[in-house]
Order: sequence, then structure tokens, then C-alpha cells
Amino acid sequence: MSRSKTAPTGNRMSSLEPFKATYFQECEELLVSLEAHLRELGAAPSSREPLDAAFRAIHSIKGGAAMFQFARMVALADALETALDRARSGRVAISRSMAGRLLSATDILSDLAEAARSGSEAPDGHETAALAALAALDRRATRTTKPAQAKRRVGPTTSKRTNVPSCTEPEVARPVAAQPATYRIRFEPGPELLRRGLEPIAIVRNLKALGKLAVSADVSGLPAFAELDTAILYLRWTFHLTTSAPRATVAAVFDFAATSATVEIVELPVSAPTSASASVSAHSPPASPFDPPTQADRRTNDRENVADRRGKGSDRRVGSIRVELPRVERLVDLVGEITIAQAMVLQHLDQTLVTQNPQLFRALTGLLKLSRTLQDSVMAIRAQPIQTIFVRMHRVARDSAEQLGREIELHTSGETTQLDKTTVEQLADPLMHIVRNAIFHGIECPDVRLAAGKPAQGTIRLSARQRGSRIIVEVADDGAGIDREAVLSRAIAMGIVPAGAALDDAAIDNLIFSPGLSTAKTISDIAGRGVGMDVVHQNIRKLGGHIQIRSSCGIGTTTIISLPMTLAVLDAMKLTCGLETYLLPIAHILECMVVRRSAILNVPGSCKVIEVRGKQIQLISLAQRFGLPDPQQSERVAIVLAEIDDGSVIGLVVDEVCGHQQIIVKSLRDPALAAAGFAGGTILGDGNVALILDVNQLVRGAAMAAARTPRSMRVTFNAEFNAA
Amino acid sequence: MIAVTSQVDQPDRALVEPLPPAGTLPLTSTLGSAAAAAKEPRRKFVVFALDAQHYCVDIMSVREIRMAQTITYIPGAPKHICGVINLRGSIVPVCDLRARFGGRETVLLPTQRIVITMIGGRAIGLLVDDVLDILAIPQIEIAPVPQADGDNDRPLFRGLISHNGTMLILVETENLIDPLTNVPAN
Repeated sequence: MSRSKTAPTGNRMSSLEPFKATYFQECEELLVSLEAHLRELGAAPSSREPLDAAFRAIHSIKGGAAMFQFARMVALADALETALDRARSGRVAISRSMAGRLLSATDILSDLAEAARSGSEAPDGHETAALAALAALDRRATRTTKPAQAKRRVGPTTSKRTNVPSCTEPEVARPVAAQPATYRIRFEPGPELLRRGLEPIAIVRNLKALGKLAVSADVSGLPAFAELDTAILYLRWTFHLTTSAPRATVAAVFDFAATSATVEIVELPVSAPTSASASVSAHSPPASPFDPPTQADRRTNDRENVADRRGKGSDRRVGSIRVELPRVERLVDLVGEITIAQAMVLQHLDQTLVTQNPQLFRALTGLLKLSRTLQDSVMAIRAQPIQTIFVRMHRVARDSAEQLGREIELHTSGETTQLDKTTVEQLADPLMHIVRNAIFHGIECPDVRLAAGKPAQGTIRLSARQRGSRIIVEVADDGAGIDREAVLSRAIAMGIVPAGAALDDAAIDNLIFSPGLSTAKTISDIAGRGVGMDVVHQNIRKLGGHIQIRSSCGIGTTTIISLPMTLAVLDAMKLTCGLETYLLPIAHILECMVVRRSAILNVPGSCKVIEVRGKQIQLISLAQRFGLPDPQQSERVAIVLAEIDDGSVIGLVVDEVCGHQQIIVKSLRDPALAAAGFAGGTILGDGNVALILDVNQLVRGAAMAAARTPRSMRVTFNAEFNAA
Repeated sequence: MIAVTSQVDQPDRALVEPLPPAGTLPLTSTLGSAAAAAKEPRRKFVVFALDAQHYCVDIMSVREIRMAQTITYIPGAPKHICGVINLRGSIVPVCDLRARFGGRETVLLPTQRIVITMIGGRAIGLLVDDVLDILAIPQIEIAPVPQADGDNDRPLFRGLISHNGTMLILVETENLIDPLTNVPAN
């Protein structure tokens, strides 16, 4: 950030330059996780997990910031870390309000990170308020502890704030937690310690990590060399440890050995000498002369190291690598090709050959299973939980609510719903807009809400779920609902709707997607310029999705976004209609049936209906809808009953249902095609493209004009041409 | 069955250089008017036929030329989009140029070609009757199109080229897509 201040270390900076992008990416992820954990903490202040996780996140952020010399980030991160560390050591109880302050500080930290990333400087004093708030936490915390300790602590932390920590330190000094004490620890392991796969050196290491350590080994138990059994531990140790860690932390080091060792921890008076007569270096492995590490030992060691790292609060990693997106995309494409190749093989394979040859059958089933697993695993790489953007919405809600003086509670559900990475990224802006809109236009002021008999605090529910081939994201508020009169009069005034037009409620609600329409009386930087919802609409359309709004006056508004899971593998039924092939996601299908044409009731001028087990179901003929010629006037037709998003059932009339197939969904992102309203396309075993039906769109759309050119001619020709 | 007639990945390595060695392309290459100044920078154009007329597009926008293949009809798509094809695993829309230029809708024949072009960053196939040639033409030989309908800020045609007694119409590919989809090209 402040490069001018760090001129002397310019070389180091430039050598680190390539890693900066990685850091920012990591930092962004860490900030997201920090925010999530802090929020969790606010909801359940006594839980330990989120506290530890938040601490690890901030610690990593700070470390990186120090490395790249972003002094302002370091200062703020340090203050946050200090606050969290206090909570971790139990010296300050986490409360909702504290979590709130920590969250606000995190917001500021994100701003600083963003500024650092873009190479600009965040406004001066941007973080002052946050630092002050954290310092206030600090003072409150220290009041509850001994005054002597408080004095010690306030000193370094305040100085750190006024006087940004020197960035050349590889790791900014951790705040001094408590007055150091010296412990004398006698560790007398039982002889079977080594047999249990436990390694004393780990204890030494862990103790050493806590503070200044002197170790002395008692070798008096050693037998004569000839009698030595390498599996028995003959040694005992005395440790002198000077540490500021609480006694419990020291004792915890011995936890794993507790059942097979005697441990005695005595706190010595401060002046006690810490040197022991027969002290050996803590580096010398006490057990090594007797015990070349076995595999079991190493394993234990690793486990201990993990425990150790956790104790120290550094990042616990599941183990991850960063891969460039094109490589993943290549993998996804290849898997798609495998699926197609597989379909091709199956199509040409002689069924009798398979059934007569059980070994071939088994091999084939195994192969199919494997390729299915492969698909799922590869898709999982690109898929990302929607959580990453849901987390951001909390901040949006917080900021907007604060600005408008409204009380908002944001609930999220379905955060683990997986979406393609690009979709997740491009969904962030539209979603942010919708949430802001809900706060600005939906949620009323607290007094209005109370008068209406609602709780003062408005609620916004953000949810995501998978439905067939699509992901449904909903933003529901419990606000006033859309003021239909205002919207309509505004639309008429703007000439979007002719005066005197009779529109039903849903049509009026959806007018808010019209460009330039805003009913807000005042314009602020949150909403009201009227450029919002139509852009949202366009962006969602670009992702191949659609957006709908439902509102009821006084109860609230729900915005429903339906998005395709691009690139996903899907189970679908192959349907033919005329000579065209379509695919319908199995998730939508309730049942398939073959009926006589005479069973279909044609309501003149309206629609076709069939009765299934006493229920009347509206039919949609694909041939009619798509303007396809219907050459096969066969007596029977196939009907597929499908469920649409609102839960109602429709029947699709097709020529034939050809069976189940796994398909790779390829988006028809091209705007020319998105308009046509299909869920996507796929490539069939014969190499041709087939379209995936979106039943929701089918219900909405009107019948298309009858075939412009006889499609069948074109396709018949193609069929012949392809066969040649 | 579906063969790639020619693939032009880096079509314009050197503008003045003749085409790649014979045999890699079944298309013949001729230089523009010999009278043109030798130093005049030339651009290359892919010439194709649509009914009796010849058109051309800047080779820089052409990615490859393919034989006719099955085009999957998209119900509800704009009139000029005759469907989509499978281009090595990705789905690419095909524009019926004849319909785009106001003619009738094309009925597919095996002799037709699909010129895959990049328009606004996206691959779009152009359905044409035949691909004839690749020409290198000096910039000065491109004459403006007399505008009959006055000001048109998104003309479909960039100019006219007179070559060996034939008139070629230079198509502005970037403008093919916008009115086609009613959506901004980006």
C-alpha cells in the first residue's frame, strides 16, 4: 500500500510481486470465512469452533499483509486478532454486540484489502472508528483482569496502533497474553509409551513452542547396553518452562500421554532459576538413540503437529492447490466428451451381445459407474457453494440497514447449494441489488412496522436450492410488498404501459423490471435511480436464468431467480417429436404414459386436457408449440407428466419417449438462443445437438407460429446426409 | 462424415504472403489486381457465394470453414438463426445469411458450407452456398457502398470490391449479430 514508506525494501517487494495476486485471492477467501465464522459466533457466542476458525483466518490475513507491507491492513488485522485472542483465552466473553463490532471491523478490513488490491489508498482514517471500537473492547476486557496485567497489555497494543508495526518483522509480534510464569514439569513416562506409538520429542517441541524451555533428562533408569530393549522408554525428563500461556495450555501438551505417564507441573516463584544442571538442548531428540522413528511414530508425530498448529492458531488446511481455470475447463470438456463417447458406444452396442456375455456386462457396468463418479468429481471442482456470495449479502444488508436506520435480520439457507463458479461470480451483483432493493423498498421503518403489528426488525430470507436442472435462489422480505398502484401509475406516466391497461397483479409486479422505473420518492446511493431491476433482469438472463417477483401487500415480496446449472451432468429422458429430439431432465418427470389420441380432450380455442386418475391435466403438444410438422398421425401418442416450479403438473405430448440418458448441459448463453427459452443444449451420441426443455418456459410461452419452412425436409435430408 | 475443409487458426501471419502451401487448403489463392501498388498493404478476404452473388468477409474474423452438417432447429429463435451445430463439443449458432440479407430461408444442401466466424467474441456459423476463394486485396480497392437508405450506423456491408470483372460485397460481420439478436453484442 504505502510503497513510498517502504522504499528500502523495494527489492523484496518486487520479488514478492508475483505472489500478490495469490495473496489477494486467498485474502478474499479468508475474509469470507472470517465473516461467516464471526456471524456464527454472534449467533452462538459460547461456541469454540467458529472462534478458533475466525482467529486462524485473521491470523493468516495479517501474516500475508505484513509480508506485502500493507501497514494499515496489518494494524487493523492485528487489533482484530488481539480481540479474538482475548476471547479465545477466555478473558473476554463474546457477546452479540462484540461480534457485531468485529464484523464491522472485518468490513473495513475488506475495504482496505480491496484498496490494496487495486493499488489505491483507502480514504484516510477509514479504519479509525473500527480501531477505536476494537480498542474499546480491549479496555473493557482488561478491566475484568488484574490491573497489573492490564497495564502491560494496553501499552503494546496502543503503541502498535499509533505506531504501525514494523513491517520487516516476518510475523508481527503476537500480543503478550499474560505475565510469564515459570513451571517445573516432571514427566515420567511409563515404559510402554513407545509401544503405544507416542513420541516424547513431540512434547518437547510443543513445550518449546509455548515459551522458553530448558530440558534435562534423567538417564538413571538406563540398563546396561546388552539388556537394552529398544521398545521400552527408560528416560524421564524435567522441563523448566517460562511461558505466558496459562497452566491449562501447558498441561494440555501432556494430554495424549496422560494415561501412560506421570506428569507433575509446579509453578515456580518468578525469581526461580530456570537453568537445570544437566540441561540438554531442546533440539536434541531424547528418544533418538534408542528409537529410530518407525512409521507409526511418524504418524503420531504428524497428528501431534496438527494439534500443535491448532494450538498455535495458524491455519488448519485440508490441503488444497490452486489450479488455473482453463485446466479445469479442459477437464470438464473431456469428461463431457467421454459422456458423449459412452452414449455412442452404448448406442451401437448389440444388446444381445451384452446380455449373453455376463463378463462384458459386468465390465460395462463397472465402466459406466466409474465414468459417472469421474463426472461427479470433475464437476465438483468447478462447482462452488453459493455461500461465498451469501456471506457478502450480510454485509450489504448491514450497511444498507444502518444507512437507512432500519433493523434487518438476514437469514440464509441452502448455502451449500453448488453452482458453477462463473455463475456464482456473476450472480453476486444482481443478488446484491435485490437485497438492497428489499431493504430500501420492502422493509418499512421500525415504527411503521410496529404500527402494522410486525416486529420492529425486518427479516430477509435468502435461500438456494436445486430443482431439477436448475438452481432456485430466493430473496424474501417481510416488508410492505409492492405498491402496485404506484408502480402502475409510474409505468403509465412513463409510457411503459398504455393508460387504462388492465394488468393482473403478477404483471404489475413484474413491471419493476422495466428500464428506468422507480417509485422511490428520494434517490440515494442505495436505490431509487430506477436503473436497478432491469439490469438485474438482464444479468440473470445472460446467465441463462429467469427472474420472477411475487408480492403480497403488507406481507412481503419474494424475488425468485432460477438459474441453470451450466456444465452439469444431468439425467434426462430423450423425447422425439417429429424428427427432432429433445431432452427433459428426469427431475421434472413424474410419469410417462402412452395414450390413444382419442383420450385427449380438445377444448376448442383453449387447450388440450387429459384426465389422469381423476385429475385434469393441461397438455402441451411439443409439435404445436415448436411449430414442427407432425407427420406421424399415429393413433397413440406419448405423454410425459412433468412438474413445474410452482408445483403444478403439465403433460407434454410427444411422439415417443426413447429412454434415459446422461447428458452434459451446455449453456446456450448466446443471447440469440437464450431468448428461445431452453434450459440448454447437449450433444448426443450421434454428434448432433439436442435441446434440453425447460418446462417452466413451455408453460409460459405461447404456441409458436406454424413452421416457417417445413422443418422435416431439412431434417430428413440431414438424416440421410449423416447416414451417408 | 463431418470434415473440416480448412482450418485457419492464425489466418494472417503475414498479409502480403501467399496462402499456405497448396494441398492444405482446397481453395485457390490469387492475388488482387496486379495493377495495385506492390507496397499497398493487402487484407485477405474469404469469398463465398450466396445464390448468384459473391460476398466476402475479412479473414481475420474467420476461424474455420466447415462442410454442411446437421443443424438443430431452435424453436423460437430469431428468423436468421437457423439453428445450432456441434463444433467440437461446443454449441455454436448458425446464421442463415440469406435470410439475414432479406432473402428466403435456406434449405440445407450437402454442398453448402458453414463459415465459423468470431463476432463480438463469440463463435457464429454463417451458412453460405459455397466458399470460393481467398483473396488479398489492397485497402484502396475497396469502394464504399452507395447508401440507398441514407444514414445507417450499423451497415451490414463495409464496401464493394471489383475483382476480375466480378463484384464482391464485403460483409461487416460485427454488424450481423446485433440487430439479429436485439441484444447488445457484448
